[in-house]
Amino acid sequence: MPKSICKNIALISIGILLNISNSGSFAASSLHLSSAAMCERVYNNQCVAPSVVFSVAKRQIFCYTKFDGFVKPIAIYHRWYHRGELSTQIRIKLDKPAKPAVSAIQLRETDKGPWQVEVVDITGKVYAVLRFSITD
Amino acid sequence: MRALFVFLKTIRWQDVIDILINSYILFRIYVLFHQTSAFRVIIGIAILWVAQKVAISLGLVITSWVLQAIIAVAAIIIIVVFRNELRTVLQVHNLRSFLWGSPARTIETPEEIIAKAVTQMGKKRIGALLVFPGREDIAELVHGGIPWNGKVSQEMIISIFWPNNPVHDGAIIIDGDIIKEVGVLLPLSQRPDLPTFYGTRHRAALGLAERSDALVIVVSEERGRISIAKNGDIRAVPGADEIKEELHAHSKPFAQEEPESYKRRATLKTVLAGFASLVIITSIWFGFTRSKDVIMSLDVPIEFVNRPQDLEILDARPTQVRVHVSGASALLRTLRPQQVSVQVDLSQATEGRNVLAITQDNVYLPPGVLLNRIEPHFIEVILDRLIVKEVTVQADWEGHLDDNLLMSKVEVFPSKISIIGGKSILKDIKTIYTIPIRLDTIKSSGEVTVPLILAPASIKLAPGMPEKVKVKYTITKRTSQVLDKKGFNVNHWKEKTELKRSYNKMLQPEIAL
Repeated sequence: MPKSICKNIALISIGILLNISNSGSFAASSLHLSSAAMCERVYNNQCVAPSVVFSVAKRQIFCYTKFDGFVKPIAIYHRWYHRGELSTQIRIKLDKPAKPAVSAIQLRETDKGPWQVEVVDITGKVYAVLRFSITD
Repeated sequence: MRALFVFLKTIRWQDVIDILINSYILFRIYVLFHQTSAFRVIIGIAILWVAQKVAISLGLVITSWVLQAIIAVAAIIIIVVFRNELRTVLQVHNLRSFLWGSPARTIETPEEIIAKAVTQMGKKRIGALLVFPGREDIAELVHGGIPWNGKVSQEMIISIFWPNNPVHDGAIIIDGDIIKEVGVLLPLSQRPDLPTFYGTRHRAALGLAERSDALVIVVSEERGRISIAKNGDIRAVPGADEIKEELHAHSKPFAQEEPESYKRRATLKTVLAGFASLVIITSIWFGFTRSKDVIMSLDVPIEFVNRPQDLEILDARPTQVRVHVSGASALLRTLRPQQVSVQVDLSQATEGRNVLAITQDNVYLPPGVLLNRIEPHFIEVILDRLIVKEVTVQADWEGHLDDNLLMSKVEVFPSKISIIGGKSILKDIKTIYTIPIRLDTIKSSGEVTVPLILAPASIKLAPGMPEKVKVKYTITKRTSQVLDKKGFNVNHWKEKTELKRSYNKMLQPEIAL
């Protein structure tokens, strides 16, 4: 296997597995979170530059999640918390398993600091908490 | 008479003790310092203080300022200039002598000093001749004297007669406690019946005693024997006490002051000082406590006491109360908010909302200040039960990470930690953070140990929880970036597309199966 392919497989794996916590209790429903990450960009339904530290100069960050195990359209929420305070809640409709659920926020100077994004369904079940920081 | 009785009835026993204690303090200051120069300056400052108060009452603004400045400077001057004197007074051997004893100096009479000096010279075999004139003038009988007019002291007398001193061979004339002349030549006695061991000094002593009512003390250089010549007779004296008695008897008719009367005067002075202290303090006390009655309002913070250990104060409204007090204007003018306290007992309080009354019992005032009113009468205190909660620890980053690097992973050890705090406070806390960790210096993966920030301040770490956590971070390099028109990394997507193709190729055989 070429070296560059190995490298890219590793990067994608990191992007998929990064910072997934509280993801063990999916059995209650058929909905299943297959990947979640914070990204600088989402392009072509792919997470670009997954990371846990983002510069405010990037102006925008994305929460990238991908679900499977659902048969009919369902809604999930991305709850963005800044220093433990709910900043925004974004509702995302899932209709195709192949299509990721992505939310984004615009960054301002006052957004610097630690953040969390809770991925929850309509019942309030938490599928994952992604933790990251906005810095200079 | 009745008015006086009513007035006296208003005085409490505490007031009497107050006056007595302060009178004694003032009296002790007088006793300890009245013989010092600093005392005179203290009196001067006291006069200036009174003058300043008068100036204020008369509305003399500049004068009162100037006097105030002078008092301040004078107080510093006392400490600096008289520091040695003050130290000497305050350096007592024990507390008893400081509180009770008198620092009065031991007064040594001239007779005692002379007797001691003569005895010393006798022991050291130093020849000496000391003349103490009586009522008769001896100026015609003596000659060759050198005026001295020095105060009598043991050391000075001995040094005058010290061998080889130019005047040691002559006599000295002492009048009271003053050495008038030294090196005086006396007329010699012509008596044939004098013992052979009597030398010229003895003959000179007897010579003057024969011709006047003067008393002459002679110390033999050869034998060290001390003799006294008086009224034409000369006799040996055995010791200092006899010399003192002889001198006392000789000077009695001319004595300025008897030690007993001096002591009586000193005692009278002390009693008067004690009485004056009592009068001054009583006046000041009445001035302070019985001056015009005024009313004053103070905003006092509420102090909570006896809080149950498993509860904490979540909120209290109001946090301070307005206390209306009355009392003598002089007292209230000097009243500071710190001297007034309002304490609320929480021992009976329960979890949740508590409405507590504030009564007179909750307010603590200095003596002489009376409570008129409290606003409000009630306060609301919300108490919260302390619980332990497990929360996630998150690393907080600051600064700027190199643009070519990505922080792909962060792990915190331990990732969760137990904290203690009020139930309602902890309800919304799911995460606690580390102190901000600088990104600027990070170039590769690594780890760092950092302390935690516990906010709000009321939360604490549960027993056994570490104050610091280890933060392990993974750094990866970005792939080279060539941005397309939309600002996306072209190379990245080329690589991704290649990766996808190769991945699909790998999967194809399985799909075919």
